[in-house]
Amino acid sequence: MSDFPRIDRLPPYVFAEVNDLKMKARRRGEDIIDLGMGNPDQPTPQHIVDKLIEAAAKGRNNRYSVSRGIPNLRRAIAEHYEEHYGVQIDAETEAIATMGAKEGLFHLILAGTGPGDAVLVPTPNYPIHSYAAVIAGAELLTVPLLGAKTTSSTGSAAPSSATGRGRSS
Amino acid sequence: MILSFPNNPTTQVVDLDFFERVVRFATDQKTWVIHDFAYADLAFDGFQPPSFLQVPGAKKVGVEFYSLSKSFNMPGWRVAFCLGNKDLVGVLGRLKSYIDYGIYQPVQIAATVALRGPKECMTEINELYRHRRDVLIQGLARAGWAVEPPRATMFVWAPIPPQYKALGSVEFAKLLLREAKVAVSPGVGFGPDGEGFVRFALVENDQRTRQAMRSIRAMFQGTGAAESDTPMAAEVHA
Repeated sequence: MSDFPRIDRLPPYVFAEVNDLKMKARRRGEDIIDLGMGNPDQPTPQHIVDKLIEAAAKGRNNRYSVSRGIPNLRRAIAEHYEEHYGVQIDAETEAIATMGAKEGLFHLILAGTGPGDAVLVPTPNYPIHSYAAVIAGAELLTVPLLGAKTTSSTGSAAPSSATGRGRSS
Repeated sequence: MILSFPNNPTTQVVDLDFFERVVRFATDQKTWVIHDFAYADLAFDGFQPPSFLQVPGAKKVGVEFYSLSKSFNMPGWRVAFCLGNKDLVGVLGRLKSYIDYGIYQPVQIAATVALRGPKECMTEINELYRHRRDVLIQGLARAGWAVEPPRATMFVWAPIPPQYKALGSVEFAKLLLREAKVAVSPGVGFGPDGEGFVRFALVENDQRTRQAMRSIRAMFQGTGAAESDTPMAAEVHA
């Protein structure tokens, strides 16, 4: 146990091993075709980039913004959901902008769970879905998505008997 | 519980009926649901991924995260949303108010334009990934590696071919890197249940993807990495 128990709960990044080999090969001058990370390679559509440049040029836009997102942006996502899914969202109380889904999801788990709670995730999964719970100190219950075998990394409870506090209503 | 469909890494998709059952389960068990909808707009062959929030009552039990990263090719901009249940949106907002001052405002303004602007770019992005998917799946098939084409996401989730299965996903990924000069993500990186698979991301253009598939075929045939733009050789063993 080191001085940093929360960090001790985070195992070494599995992808690092392959990434290291990739970097070494590239340094040797090898042409590696990288189909590893899901990092989109295409440019952002021009009209969106143009708007960013225009907005950045206005001094007042460079001040601190609003944590939950400016009202126009929250209204725009509500309109998008109405148009695409027929779902009504109250932009004031049911929508918040986050710095990517990853940050938002992590902070929501951190805000809402802790020791005594159980977080259920199908696996394999996008790692933050599991590690958000691990970092928050909640119990992680895993359910295999591929239907091969039932495993649980930290608990044996089935979904229907998950422990911890539930919703109060 | 945290769900995400279309799924990364498995590319699994679900229909609305699945989310109806999730809402029933969550209502009965008093469980909160978080649905990560990062691949909402990357779906092919006419399939339209449903939103969790389309289920009546979904807002009582959970929220959905919608991201602009893949839908609008804006990954580095860091713009997404948490939508749905007032209580969850509220606690997230309260925590965030202690942590951040929000996304850089020009990014928020441009993101508003993205959501309200012309949607042709979304169709084009989708079409690009569908085409790359087909190139990759066909290339794998020529190498004798049969993989089901995914109906959504920017990934192909491939079971390791039987002759390499015993290596495990990390060693197989290293072998692909050494012999075929192709980097993939080992399935075990997504948890122990991902062992036995590797994930390809559709992030290289058609030409580079074809080159990668030829190299993999050459590796499977034991002839080493293929040269760049080598013309297609004859059929291989299936």
